[in-house]
Amino acid sequence: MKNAQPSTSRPPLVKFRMPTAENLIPMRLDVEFEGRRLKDAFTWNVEDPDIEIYPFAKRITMDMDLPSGFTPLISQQMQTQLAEFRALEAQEMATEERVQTLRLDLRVNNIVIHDQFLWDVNNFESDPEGFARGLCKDLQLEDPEIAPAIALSIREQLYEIAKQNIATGRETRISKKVRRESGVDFTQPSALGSSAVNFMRRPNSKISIVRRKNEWDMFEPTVGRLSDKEVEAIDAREERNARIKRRQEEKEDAYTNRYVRV
Amino acid sequence: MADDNEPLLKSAEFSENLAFTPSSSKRKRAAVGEHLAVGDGEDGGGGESGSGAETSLESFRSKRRDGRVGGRARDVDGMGGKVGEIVSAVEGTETTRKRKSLEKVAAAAATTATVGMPEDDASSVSPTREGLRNGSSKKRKPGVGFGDDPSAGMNADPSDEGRVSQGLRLRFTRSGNSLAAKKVVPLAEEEKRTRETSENTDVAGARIRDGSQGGTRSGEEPWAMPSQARDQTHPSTGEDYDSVPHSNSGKVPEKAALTREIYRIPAYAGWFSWSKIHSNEKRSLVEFFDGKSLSKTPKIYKEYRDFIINKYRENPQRTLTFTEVRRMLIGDVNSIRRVFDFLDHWGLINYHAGSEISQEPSPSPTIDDGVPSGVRVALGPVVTPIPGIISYLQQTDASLASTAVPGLQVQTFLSRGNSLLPVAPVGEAEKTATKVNCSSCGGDCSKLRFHCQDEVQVGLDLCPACFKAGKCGPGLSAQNFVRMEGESDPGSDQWTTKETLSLLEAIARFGDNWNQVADYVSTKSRAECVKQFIRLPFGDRFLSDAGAEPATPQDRDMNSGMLANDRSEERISDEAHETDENRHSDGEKHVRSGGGLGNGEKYSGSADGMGSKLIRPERQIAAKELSPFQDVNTPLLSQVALMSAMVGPRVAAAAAEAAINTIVEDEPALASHPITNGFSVLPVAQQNCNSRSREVTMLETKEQELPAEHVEGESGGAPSAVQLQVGIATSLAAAAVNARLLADQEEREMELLMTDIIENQLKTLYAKLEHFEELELLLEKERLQVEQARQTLFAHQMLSTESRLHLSRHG
Repeated sequence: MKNAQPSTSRPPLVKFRMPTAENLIPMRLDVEFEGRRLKDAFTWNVEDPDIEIYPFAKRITMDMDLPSGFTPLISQQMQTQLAEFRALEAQEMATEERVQTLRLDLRVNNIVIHDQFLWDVNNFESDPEGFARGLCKDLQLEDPEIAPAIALSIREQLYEIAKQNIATGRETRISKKVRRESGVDFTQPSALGSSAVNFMRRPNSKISIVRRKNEWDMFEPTVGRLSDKEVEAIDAREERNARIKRRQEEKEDAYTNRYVRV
Repeated sequence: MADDNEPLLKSAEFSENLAFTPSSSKRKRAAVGEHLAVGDGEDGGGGESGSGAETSLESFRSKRRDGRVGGRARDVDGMGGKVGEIVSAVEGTETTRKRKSLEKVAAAAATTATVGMPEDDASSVSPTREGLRNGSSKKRKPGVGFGDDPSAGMNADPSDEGRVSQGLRLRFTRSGNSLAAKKVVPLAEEEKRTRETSENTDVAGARIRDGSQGGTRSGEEPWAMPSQARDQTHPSTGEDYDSVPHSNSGKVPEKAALTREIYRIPAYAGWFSWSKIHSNEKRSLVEFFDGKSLSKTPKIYKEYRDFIINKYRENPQRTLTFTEVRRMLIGDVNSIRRVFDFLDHWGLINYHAGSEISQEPSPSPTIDDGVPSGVRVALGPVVTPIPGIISYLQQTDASLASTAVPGLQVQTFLSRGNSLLPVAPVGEAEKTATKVNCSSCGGDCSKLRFHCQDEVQVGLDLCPACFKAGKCGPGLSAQNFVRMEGESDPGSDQWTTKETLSLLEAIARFGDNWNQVADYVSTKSRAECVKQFIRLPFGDRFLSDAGAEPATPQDRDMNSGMLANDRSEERISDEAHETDENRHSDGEKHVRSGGGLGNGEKYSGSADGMGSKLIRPERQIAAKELSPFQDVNTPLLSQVALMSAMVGPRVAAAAAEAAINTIVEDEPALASHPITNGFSVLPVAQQNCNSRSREVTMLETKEQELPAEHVEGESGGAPSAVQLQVGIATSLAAAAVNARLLADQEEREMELLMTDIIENQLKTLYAKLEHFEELELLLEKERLQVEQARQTLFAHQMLSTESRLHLSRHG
């Protein structure tokens, strides 16, 4: 590694953004109105003006043939999520390499995918969509919903990590040592600067770009196909969980309402 | 000489150095051998290239001694020989047969250079006759090169005895990062030995090789002594990656020499070298070279690259996927993916796909030999997607089996080998010289292509589709390309009479709906049809040609359109008969019309309509007067016919009648004309015609003195002129009617559009209203909320006031 000394100066901080080539944030919708429920997930380009949210919401409502009452609700949920990002945007984030393990664990229709890979969460040229497409192509997954779902999952993780890094950023810069010792670090395997080089180190202090063979399986995607029955069961379970959750929330709401009123 | 043989030279390089992926089943490829036959060269370049016999071993030897061979494979080709190659993946029994025939070939060719490629430990030796022996049925055990047990490998090959023939041997060795090491065992000192051993065994070959190393280029040869070979360097072990020399590549070349395999990479990836990082790579994968990251350094890039390529070459038959690769590599998947995509793009991996498309050889390849130990790559000015190993075996096999004359056989064999060797037999090369294939999709783009001018990418050609899609290749942009047009096929411009006829017919039928016309003609494009129609000679010139074919389809069409005139025409036709008969009877008298007699006869036979009437050549008078219109084939007239056909017979009839009435009013003399009377006044008063006829005839000064009978006989010509007038008038009327119809239609359409506009505006208004309502609703909601808040506030105030009062009362 002598030949390529990275620049000693710390890479500059930049305004918070999605650490991907395109500044798209993941968004999730879960809206219920007049007994109908809309669940959706997509990415939103934060470069777009925020006022486009309402037309977008309206569009969704129309496209999905939902009652127009959905529009304000959708728009509100999106607004909330975007507002969170805008708040973060006021802060700065580091740009130095930071390789972390991302995990995929998702189900799209009747396909279940588990996967794990290393991702430089501060690589602003990363391309989750391209990665997801490639993955689907390599695995010969034809369902067109899978690739976006994978990309979204990656984006959600990146977003989450980026947020955490902001939260811990200041502290990180102050004392890495503490963090390392505490051992609860998100970036635990790469305590030393979280560069990929740390992953490459071997016990014999050699550096190898090739992973130990016994770890190959862990970093390999596995795809499972569920039968329709299983899918139904899972859907039902999710539905039930959601209902329970909602009831709880309603309860809480009622409580707070009563509390406020009195 | 050397220059002349450049292509050959190149081909040797090519086959040796390039990775290629035979289409035959997976492991057969492992048994690749190379047979270099220096024989009767087709290139005609060198003096030696006359015939197989002439290209003698002697000359070769002397050449070699002159230092021209210098232990390098391509110098073999300096001999002016052809290089053939055998992919020796023949199945068991075939092997022997093939070997025998090959031997024959080799003998005839006088000089044979074989490239041995050890395959497994048992057979790995035989550097000489590998190509023949080829181990076919044996599967090469991955990674177990002769390196495992060099001595055993070298010495034991019972099947190969007696194969060490004259010539030189090329041998591939493989070393970790420099796969492409190769070597020619110089014959100088070995010739004798080779001869000695040639009847015995290949042990000699092995020995020779060992011994020869020092003598040749030991200094720069990156491959190592086989005895030192370690199979761990071979990526195909697929096992022990922990100790793979990727991480310490510096030592590898010395440490390991392994079975060398032949791979093919596309010519446009010719910059690739195992030992170097090309500027292409630096340009495309900047992140590894900007020094910003500890884990993204050129060294790591190279390791990634080498690993991926080696991984692919373990089994070139299947497509290596990124998903597969990334589980084995540590690092940011995005970066690795970019490396992977880069390699994939340049065909350094996964090149077998699509490689079967083309067998076009590059006509004049050049060699990139900048890197002594690297993979040498042939670069051709015309880049064809490197063809895969087509059913190579069968070809070679067939060619070998079928030939009786050895010399010839070599040729056949060689020309068959073209799929691998970019050397074409002369004829073929000429034929294919103008054919260019797209480097991206492989399609033929000889007609129009985009040629890359970048010096790195010599000879990259893209078809328009790929160019548009931006498949320029990494580091290249559209600016690097120039548009090149190949000569278009001259044959496609020719119109056969049949095509022309169908074109005319189509025009008559579909008017200027050129799409339909083109469909109808079917063999020509729309533009070609228009062009041809414009180009068509109209008037007499065309007629004289078309005259041979009586009553074109158009005529019929036209006639059907001129229903109204039919009756009168029948009469005219009768008259024509009469006149013709007249002429027959006293041909001497009718001097002038005599010339047209033959035609007249012909036409009178088929004169069943106005069209054929009109084009009667003997109607000279009318022709003078109305020549542009008289021709049925005039677009105007066919249009007119078409128009009258369009409005329907009744309308046309009415229009014609009206037209005739008007004409009669203008020119009362015509009132009694057979045509003008055709509709109402029948039969015709023949003598009334005369006035008109005479008038017309007067124009011809020559005939002024002709007797009355003659004028009488000429009368057939006059009606056609009048008839034409009537026809034109009719058609104009018809056109007017048609125009009227169109206008009506247009008006209706306008109305419709207007309605649409109004409707849409209404919709907009409604939408706005709805929007406002919605806003109102929201406002109302908000108002309610505010109201509620106000009440709450009031209640709070009340409460607080109350408590304050309470307090104050108590206080």
